[in-house]
Amino acid sequence: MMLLVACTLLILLVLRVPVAFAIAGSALIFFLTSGTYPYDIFAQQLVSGVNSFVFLAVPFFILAGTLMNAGGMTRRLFDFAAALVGNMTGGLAQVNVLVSTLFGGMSGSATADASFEAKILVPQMSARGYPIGFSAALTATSSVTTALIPPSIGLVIYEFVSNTSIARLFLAGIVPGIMVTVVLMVMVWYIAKRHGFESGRRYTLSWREVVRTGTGAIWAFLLPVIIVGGMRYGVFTPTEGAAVAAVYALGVGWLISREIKVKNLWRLFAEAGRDTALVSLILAVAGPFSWALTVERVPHEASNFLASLSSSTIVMLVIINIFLIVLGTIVDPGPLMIIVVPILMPLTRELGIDPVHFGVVVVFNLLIGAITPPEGSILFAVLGVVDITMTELTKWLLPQLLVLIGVLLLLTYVPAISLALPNLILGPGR
Amino acid sequence: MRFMLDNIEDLFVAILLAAMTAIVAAAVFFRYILVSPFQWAEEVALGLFVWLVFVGAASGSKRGAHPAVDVFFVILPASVRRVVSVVGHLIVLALLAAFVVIGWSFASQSWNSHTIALKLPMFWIHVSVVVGGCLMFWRTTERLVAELRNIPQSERAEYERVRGL
Repeated sequence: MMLLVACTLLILLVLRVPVAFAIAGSALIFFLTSGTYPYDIFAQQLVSGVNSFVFLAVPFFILAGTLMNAGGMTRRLFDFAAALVGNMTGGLAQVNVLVSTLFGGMSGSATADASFEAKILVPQMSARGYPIGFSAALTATSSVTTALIPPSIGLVIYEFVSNTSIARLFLAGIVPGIMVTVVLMVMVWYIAKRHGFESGRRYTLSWREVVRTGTGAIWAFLLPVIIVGGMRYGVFTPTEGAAVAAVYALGVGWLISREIKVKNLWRLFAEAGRDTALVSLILAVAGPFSWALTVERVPHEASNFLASLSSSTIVMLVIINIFLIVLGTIVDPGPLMIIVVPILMPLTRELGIDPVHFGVVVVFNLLIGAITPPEGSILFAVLGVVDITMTELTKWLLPQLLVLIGVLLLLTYVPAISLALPNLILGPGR
Repeated sequence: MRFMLDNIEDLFVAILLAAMTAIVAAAVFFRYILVSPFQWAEEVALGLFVWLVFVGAASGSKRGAHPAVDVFFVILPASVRRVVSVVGHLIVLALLAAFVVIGWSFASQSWNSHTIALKLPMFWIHVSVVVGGCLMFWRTTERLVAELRNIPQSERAEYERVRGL
């Protein structure tokens, strides 16, 4: 029975049926062939698949990201980053990395970050003599930090499928996010040195410029203070915080910087709403799909099988990492997480792996998959804007991916990197 | 009118998202500033979200924006690609028809169960699957017809440019 479901899923995906419909189709095959379960369960699971108040944070964060880009908030962050690190070796490339980190503290959408940088930063980098392949590759790589630094859409989805504390997950993402930023900046320094990027002119660090651009970005800096402060002191839940962030970004873009025009407003909302719907439809159809899996005890069997391969936590994590990266190269993080995490959860429980630590590893792992050719929403967000082929991009991307995989290994085997901060602030977990 | 019809999902989605955001943000304001909380915010926002998902998905269908796995597709020869694409569209249409039928049978049974805070019949939430399914069916048919008439589709051209095909 489950073999039939798996084959249907595979065939539909090969036929380029969209992931959402491929999942729905294989779930429907299950109900069709089982004969014992009423179709009402299919419909009911479909609706309850998206019926989560925590998950509502996702549309709000996507909206906030869209409004920040349209309202000029992201551009002001960029000006600030340029003033701060523009003088370093590989100046604009350093800016590319730092903008992702700053943006990550305000929105949770790696795709919004990548599309902003591809539009605004890559042309500027080209003007200063960077190869376009390097700029495009770095834009994709650096967007990974956006997804780790809270608020993070990936961690919200993980929370939803694994029932872990969202506050813990958010805190656990901070140190790894900063770590990735530092590692990428060192990498940029090395590459720029070797290839002699931006070697002709030197820019000097001007503190006056830092202060000026910093003041310009003050509204952007206030946003994470409001969100994190509000959540920390229990004024609002992460979902409400996300809605407040969207209203704030709208208010600043419309009333203060006046870059959002009323007549374009509905398009921004429609765009954010559509992006949300595309992710959430997959979540909806995953409802009946995972119901079928659970009825057939697949998560249980799968974790028994995996557990029989090795009893060592380290070996098991290697297997999971490889498995996720390979799948991640062709399927996007959101859908993959929704399908795979429920299957892996019993296993991690058995092996005593902390679910918060595991969440950070899974999210980071799947993001590496999302920027690994041949597939990935972040890659396509970059390629849709930058005039370059996948082959050219891949050439520059591969060494950067190896660096990220190095960080992934470190994150996987040193749980303290992710767990120290939540344990310090919220006390030991579980 | 033509504009309304062409963008009906987008208009609807924009209104839904704006309403959701306003309600959830207002709930915080009422609870902490005016100290007169209202209980129905969560419930209404979630109900609107369910609608957003299924109607917004139709907007995605119109643009062919649903994420799909392309690796196998792009290595096929152009003629086979076309057949596969048509077959794929037909499978999606069959599935959507099933969505509508199953969704309607489920929704029409839910007149008697009510939401917790406002006591609205669950029908009004569950029927979103039917409406969204119909809209997606319509938009997918449009794309299939365009495909059969061999109208070059912008995102295909974009795709091939990106891949260097």
